[in-house]
Amino acid sequence: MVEIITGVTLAARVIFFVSSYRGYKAESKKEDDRAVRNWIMESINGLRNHAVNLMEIGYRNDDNNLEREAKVMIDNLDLFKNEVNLATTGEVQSIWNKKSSTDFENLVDFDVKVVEEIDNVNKKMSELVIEVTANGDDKLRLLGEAKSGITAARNHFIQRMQFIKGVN
Amino acid sequence: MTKMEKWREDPDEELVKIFTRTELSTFWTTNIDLIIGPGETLVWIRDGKIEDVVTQSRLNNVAGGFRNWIASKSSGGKEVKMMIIDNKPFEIVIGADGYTKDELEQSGIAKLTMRLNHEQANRLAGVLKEKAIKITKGFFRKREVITGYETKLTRTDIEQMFAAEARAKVFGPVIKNYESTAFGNRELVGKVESAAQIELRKTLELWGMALETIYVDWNRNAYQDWKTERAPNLWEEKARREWEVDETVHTEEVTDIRSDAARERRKKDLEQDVSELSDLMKMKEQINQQKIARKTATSDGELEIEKVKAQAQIESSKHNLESYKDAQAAESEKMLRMMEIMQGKKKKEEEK
Repeated sequence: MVEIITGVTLAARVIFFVSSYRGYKAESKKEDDRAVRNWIMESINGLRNHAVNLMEIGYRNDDNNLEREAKVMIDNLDLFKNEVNLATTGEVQSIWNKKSSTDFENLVDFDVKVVEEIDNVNKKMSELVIEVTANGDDKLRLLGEAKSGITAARNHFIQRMQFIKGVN
Repeated sequence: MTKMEKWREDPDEELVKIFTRTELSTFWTTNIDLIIGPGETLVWIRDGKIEDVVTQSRLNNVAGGFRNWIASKSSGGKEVKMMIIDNKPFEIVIGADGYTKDELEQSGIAKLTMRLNHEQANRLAGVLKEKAIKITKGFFRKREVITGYETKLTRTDIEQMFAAEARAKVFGPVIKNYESTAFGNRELVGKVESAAQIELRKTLELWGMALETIYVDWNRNAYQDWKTERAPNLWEEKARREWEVDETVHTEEVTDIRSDAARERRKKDLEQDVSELSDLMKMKEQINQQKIARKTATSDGELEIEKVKAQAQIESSKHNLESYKDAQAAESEKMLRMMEIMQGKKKKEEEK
């Protein structure tokens, strides 16, 4: 898996998750931005489902700590989603203020970071749900990794937002 | 001159609005700009499929004006709809009631902050499809006929959708788990939130909505009412008891201070007595020492005197002995002389 990913371009790494993505080529800029944001929002819905599952396990088994941790994750995901919702859309550039292709390459780089981090968190949370259900020993480690992954993905998205403001 | 058109008449109430093809071609005709602000989404649905999603745009320059944009979007396809969604968080208020563990009636007002997921716009469209507009027809035989479907989703609609379910699945069971004295504590706040997220999840997801926060403003239950009514008496009683306790503590403190002073005084007296006694003992000791010294000195003198006496006696005895020896010698000499004298007389007599 690692060999395949390192061998492909940044845009291809996003296409792995968002099939309509074209790497902000020609007239696809707005569509690509929208596709990425839509993918993020749908993925956040998925992560939220994992967190609600964890909360349910905690609630049914009187595990107040797990319930509280899941609630923290849900709150962070809701805030992340709110940011994605309110983020500015990249506008079609006029001929006078067209940005260089390197700017868009950087934007693709941000997209890769956000998308791959969200995918990573998704895997961690799937593992966590299984671990909690099976009462495994790795619960706390996975819980910590999932929480920090959500924060990392959110931070990447904030950086992307800041960059888009610069690009527009 | 273009004019701005708002997509809803009552922003506090309307959350989703669908415009059908006929409305688009009649109402949204000429020189109209439409701003899709932050937290709003325009979804273009053609033949039941989402074709385009627009966020944060002013629809006046897309494809040569909003009218042309609409024209380009509505060409082809049988059913064309434009749905505008307010996806900012909004608050709904529903009633919460049930019976506590100790069988007291508990009620309150639950405030839920929710959000419509525009990425699940087809589900939201489904909600509106469920809201049929019915009218009663017929003169002799009355019957209900569906004349169309609602085009607006309002806050009140959502409140009605969730009220019964939340009461049955969330508030009732949660209230039942707690004693009447527990209402107002932090743990209960968390439990209500968890229960709502878990129990309402299915319905929320079904209709493309999300629950962000929930809290309940609980009314006073019978126990709390009773406590409030009793409060003045209880406070008075409590104040009286506190005063009594304070008074007792004060009295005890005064007594303690007094007894401490007396104890201190006794202690000082005792210390003084001990000191005096110790001085006396020392003095007695000294006197004894002096007596012993004096006795020792006296006995030494007597001993010396005795020694001198004894010496004198020895001397006297010696003298006596010498005198006796001298006397004896003198006597012996005397005897000898007498004997000689006697012997001389005898001879003289014999000779005679």
